[in-house]
Amino acid sequence: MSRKRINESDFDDFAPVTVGRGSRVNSLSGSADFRSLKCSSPLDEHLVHLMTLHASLGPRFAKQDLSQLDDQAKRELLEDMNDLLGIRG
Amino acid sequence: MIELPYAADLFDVDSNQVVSANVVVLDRDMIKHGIVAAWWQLPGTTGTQRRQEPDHKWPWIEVIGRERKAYGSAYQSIGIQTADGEVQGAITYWINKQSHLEPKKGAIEVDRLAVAPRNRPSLRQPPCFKGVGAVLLRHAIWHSYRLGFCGRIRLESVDSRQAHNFYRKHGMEVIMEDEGYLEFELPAEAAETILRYEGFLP
Repeated sequence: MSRKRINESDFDDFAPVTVGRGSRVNSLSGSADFRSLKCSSPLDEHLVHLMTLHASLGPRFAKQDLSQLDDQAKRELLEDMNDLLGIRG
Repeated sequence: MIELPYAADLFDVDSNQVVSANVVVLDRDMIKHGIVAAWWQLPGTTGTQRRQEPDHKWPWIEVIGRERKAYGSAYQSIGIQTADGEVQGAITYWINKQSHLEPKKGAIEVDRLAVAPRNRPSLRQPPCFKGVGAVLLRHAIWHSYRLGFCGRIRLESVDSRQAHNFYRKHGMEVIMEDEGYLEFELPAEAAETILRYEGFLP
């Protein structure tokens, strides 16, 4: 997936560690819903995350019942969402 | 979405070659055995040296358990694992936070990012693997992009010039200072440049 590295000079020497004081930042609205989300696969989880994080997807996708879709249909749904959100790759 | 595990390159200093490792979801067993029980068993270091590391006493299991309870799947825990099963670094983050640079837009907020002590030049010379922190940081950027946040991530750095330089080198900007700690955010434009350079985006 990522760029192939060839030799030692391609790698960082530094080993970062963050502060780890907990969140200092406000959550996006609607994020409390994550606690009750139950997803049966990583793909389901990602779809639900997108729907939860982007209100703009609501009108078109909010009533999708993922349990009624097969894997292929879910992937097509994800492509549609990515198109709407401008997510490439 | 991001299919996990996926392969990423590290530099194995002892064998002087590039090796492939896996970016994985950290489960409880990996945290317990691969981090908590393993990271600080580091011959040749003193107690003083270990205590100087900010994550020396991080209660990984409790933190992840608590945050998952509070945030559900909005709190993610990711590791990088070499072929021998060792966890070489870990990152945890929230996927549902607000950007500072673009208010009302989303960003990933990194909670804990740490490279295994055996890979820190400050604790072991030479370190076992190089490139661990960059792989974990890139993963967060890529996840942010796939969530429609254009790769925006933010984090709080320890008070160290080396750390600040590391984040700046990765395109991050200082957005505020709090109790001596600098908070950085990676702007969307810089994230896209990184993702293109790294081959995540065409």
